[in-house]
Amino acid sequence: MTGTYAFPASFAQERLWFLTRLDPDAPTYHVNAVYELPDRDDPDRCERILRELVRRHETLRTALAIEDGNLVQIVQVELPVALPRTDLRELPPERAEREFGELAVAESRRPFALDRAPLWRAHLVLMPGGPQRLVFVVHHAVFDGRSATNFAEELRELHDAIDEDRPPRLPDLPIQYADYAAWQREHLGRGVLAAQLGHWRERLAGLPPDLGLPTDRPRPATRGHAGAEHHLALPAGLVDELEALARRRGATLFMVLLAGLKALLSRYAGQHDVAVGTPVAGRDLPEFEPLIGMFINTLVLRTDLSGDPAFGDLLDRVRETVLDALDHAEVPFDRLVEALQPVRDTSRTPLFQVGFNLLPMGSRGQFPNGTAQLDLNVDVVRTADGAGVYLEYSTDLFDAATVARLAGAYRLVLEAVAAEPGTRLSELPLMTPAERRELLTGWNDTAAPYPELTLHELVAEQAARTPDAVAVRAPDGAELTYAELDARTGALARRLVAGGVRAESCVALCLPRGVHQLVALLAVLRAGACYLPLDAAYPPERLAYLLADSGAALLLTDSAHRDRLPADRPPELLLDQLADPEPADAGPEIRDDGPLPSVGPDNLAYLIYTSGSTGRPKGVQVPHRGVVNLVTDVIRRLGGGSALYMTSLSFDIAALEIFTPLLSGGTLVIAPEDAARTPKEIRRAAEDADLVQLTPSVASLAVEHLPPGLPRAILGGEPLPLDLATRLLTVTDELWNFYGPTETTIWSTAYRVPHSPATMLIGSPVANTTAYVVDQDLRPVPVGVPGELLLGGAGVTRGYHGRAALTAERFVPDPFGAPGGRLYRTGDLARWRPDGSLECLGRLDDQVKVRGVRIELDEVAAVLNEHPSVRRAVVAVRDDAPGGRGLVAYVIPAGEGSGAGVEGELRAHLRARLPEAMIPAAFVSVPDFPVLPSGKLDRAALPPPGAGATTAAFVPPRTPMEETLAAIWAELLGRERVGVTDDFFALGGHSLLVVRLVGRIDDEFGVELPLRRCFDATTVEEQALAVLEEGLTDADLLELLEEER
Amino acid sequence: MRDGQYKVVVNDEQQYSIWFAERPLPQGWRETGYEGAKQSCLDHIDQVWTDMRPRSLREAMGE
Repeated sequence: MTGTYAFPASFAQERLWFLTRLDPDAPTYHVNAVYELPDRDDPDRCERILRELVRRHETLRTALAIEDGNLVQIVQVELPVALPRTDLRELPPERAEREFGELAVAESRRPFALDRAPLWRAHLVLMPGGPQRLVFVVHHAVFDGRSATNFAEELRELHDAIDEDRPPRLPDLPIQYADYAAWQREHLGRGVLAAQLGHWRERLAGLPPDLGLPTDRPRPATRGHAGAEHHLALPAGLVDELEALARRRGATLFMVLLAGLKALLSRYAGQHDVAVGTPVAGRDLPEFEPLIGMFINTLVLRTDLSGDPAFGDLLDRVRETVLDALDHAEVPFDRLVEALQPVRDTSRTPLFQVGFNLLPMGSRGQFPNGTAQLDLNVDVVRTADGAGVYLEYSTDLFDAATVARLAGAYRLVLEAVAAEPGTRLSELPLMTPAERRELLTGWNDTAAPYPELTLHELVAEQAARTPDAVAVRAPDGAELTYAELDARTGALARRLVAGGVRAESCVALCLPRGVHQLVALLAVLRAGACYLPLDAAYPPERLAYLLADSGAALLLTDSAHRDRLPADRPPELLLDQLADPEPADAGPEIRDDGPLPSVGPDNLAYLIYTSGSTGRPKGVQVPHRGVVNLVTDVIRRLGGGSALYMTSLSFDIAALEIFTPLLSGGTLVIAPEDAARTPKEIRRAAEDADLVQLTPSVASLAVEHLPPGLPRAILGGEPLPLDLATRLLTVTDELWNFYGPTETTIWSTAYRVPHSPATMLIGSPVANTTAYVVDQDLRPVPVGVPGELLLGGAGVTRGYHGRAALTAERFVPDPFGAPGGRLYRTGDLARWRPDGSLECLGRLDDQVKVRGVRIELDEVAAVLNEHPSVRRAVVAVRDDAPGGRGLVAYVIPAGEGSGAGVEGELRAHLRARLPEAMIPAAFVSVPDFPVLPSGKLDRAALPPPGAGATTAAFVPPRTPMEETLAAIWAELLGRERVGVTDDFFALGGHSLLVVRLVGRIDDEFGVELPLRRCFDATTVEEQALAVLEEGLTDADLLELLEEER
Repeated sequence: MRDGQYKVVVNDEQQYSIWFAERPLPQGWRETGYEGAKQSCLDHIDQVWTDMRPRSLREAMGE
């Protein structure tokens, strides 16, 4: 008797069928196990046992197929069973094990065709020395964890019964899985579904779409299934303590382990709203117990971890979460997704990305098959000596070492709460003492000697060593030797002292870049004072503010610039009107003035104003010490020699361009005043230089004009895009990416950029500098976890001029380094890489979240920059983006082409590579980016995105195929009309409708559109193209080509 | 640094800052006796920290 019956599929089967169809070849939803059986010299016994199992359980004879637009189970009345056999008995044991492993993994990865029964396969392997191993692989649509237990028990009992020559003692199966599926539909239909859905809608309202767990690599636009597994053992003593803790708090071990995991995730992600998924057995009636089949449902366990609770309180919260979820456990997960998150995001799993389960002893037979269903899944299995923790993770997102660290941190958290349940969330340890030591001390081992002298003392020493070397070369070719520079500086310094300048005085400099300016700068230092650079291009209000706020005692300028300065200003000295600047003549009369003030490394060298995003500009007081330390380190690492002086003096990094040559006997090559804006000037100037320093904004304009064979280049001040780095590496072999705020003196970290870098880093701290990455409680975070970057050491400046409160807030006590030290809180988000280098992730306060997903603006810009029609792109967050606060992309087009066509192309380009939340709401084409005098991008001056062009107008179908498709959509979506640019999911489409859509497309066009394509092509317009492409056969193509001819 | 209770602290160089009220002080720092909300601590520092030069520098400059 042969034949088939059709029954409705269960909800879980619909879900698994759908997920499998999305990636038909991925073995993500395979369950596998290896059963060891004693060898009984009865070669067919195992096959006979399997035959009996198949006879007993309909699910082992079931396939899934679409009938009339609905998924059904097709059960075969009879199914022939043949068990393939491999004999490895003759092999040496080691080799046999290896071959067995390869065979098992190969079996476990071979895809199932869901419409062909059976949805399992088995393979018997005879091992050396007797035992037989049965490899069993089965699709999750007909099997679950409890099924595995049932299967193993029946297998054993049938085996024993044959051994003992008796009938097997197996439970009767009065009902089969198909009965369950029918019961489930009826049961849920009676109002249960609606009531429970209502509950979940409330419980999960406002759930962030992403947990925020930091990943090693950006999330791909479409989730991959590649995975791996990490194992961690928990000792029996620890598990006993956790169980005791559970008992004391009226909770279960499951809840304690889950609370520990949530605490860990919350700390890693820096998020308090933590949702974790967990499977529930779903065998609500006793008759379901002995069946084999897919009964599992998935619950979303969401807990609010805010308020820094003690672990005991957190456990109470998790207990509530779990009990509440179990009370509403019947809503099929897919129904929940459709109700709560109808718009599919193919880059991440809906509602939760991390799963958790606690399994009874011996129940986890699964061996890794190279897939991961979630970003991360944590299975804890009881063992005879404690518990095993299996972390299955997506290898697209995480490195093995990262998951190993996370697992180690999980154990630390569990140990800490077992020892002291009163420990607060923020105090739970995430690192071992050794890991902590490496981060705090090992990677900050930067001690190196530097002279205990001031900048001008060091320049004077250099002048004494190499008096006749060329110290300065002006754009017009005029040169100054060290001796001449020293003499002119000394003369002017004495004049300044005569004019009342003292140690710690502030002297404003408003002079064009040139020899005058340099002499003035050095003279100010020599007179014991610090300089305040003023850029004449600044608006008059800003100049007035800087002069007033700094309390500058004197102003050094020239007659050309004087008139641009505010009327209310300190006494001035016009350098072009000094009696005679020639040192030979000016010298004798002034040299009588006595000794110059003596100042030390902790006196100020300069006062530089920086603008934050809010508030008035603030003056950073920078002592000599930090500059001397940095310049010494740069000369040590990169070498000294000549350097191009091109950066505006009002940007602190200019000091590095000035002092690197002057402290190493090289020549300071002065670039023409507007070199940064006229790139052709750069080439001539840079030809003489061993070192140039550029911001990426300037470098992107200048790179084509830089002389090839440039010895060294330092980039810094802004994020360095990878593609720009690659282009710069064609000009110079030695490219450095430096990072540092003015508050810790020019640069604090350095990174030698390798050829073809994968990620742009900022490297490690420079000499005598410490770097820490901390959470908001100033506690160090583990490798890979983003936190605020704190900097300490010789570069830490005095503070903000006249702003004691602000200084105290930003410069905090150093809990890690030398006693009494201070750390500057950079406000930048960074993380450690496993090799001890730092990655900067942007500003802490413009952490952008779009629909709850954290966005890295530079990442979006980097992908845009890859597009051939983009010359350079930046991405900004704006409140005036279409649809409110959102992303706006600014693009300098590469060629002539611009406008709507290009925007569509760029959108598609990004869509293919980035998650939906990272796609800008608007694209603005600009001829150039606005740049600040410092050479950095002027974000505030980017134009607002133009209105309109974003609300998609109704576009009627234009071809017969579009017409047919639009009609199918309208019918499925219950709409009167559908435009060809409308989005299927935005109109209410969901996964089951996609299945119907695919069926209808097949009916109408005879084309089997892969499910995946419906998620890429989400408009009628795109789908019509997809159908055309899929439908084309080679014959059609040939025909088309014929027609072309 | 989140909002909460802080103390005003000072180091040997007479540089001021703030630290979490309930946590032990980093080495080389001592309490000034002032404790309160973050902003109130910062306001207090604005009053008392009038010379931002480190103590050793002031001494070296002969004051």
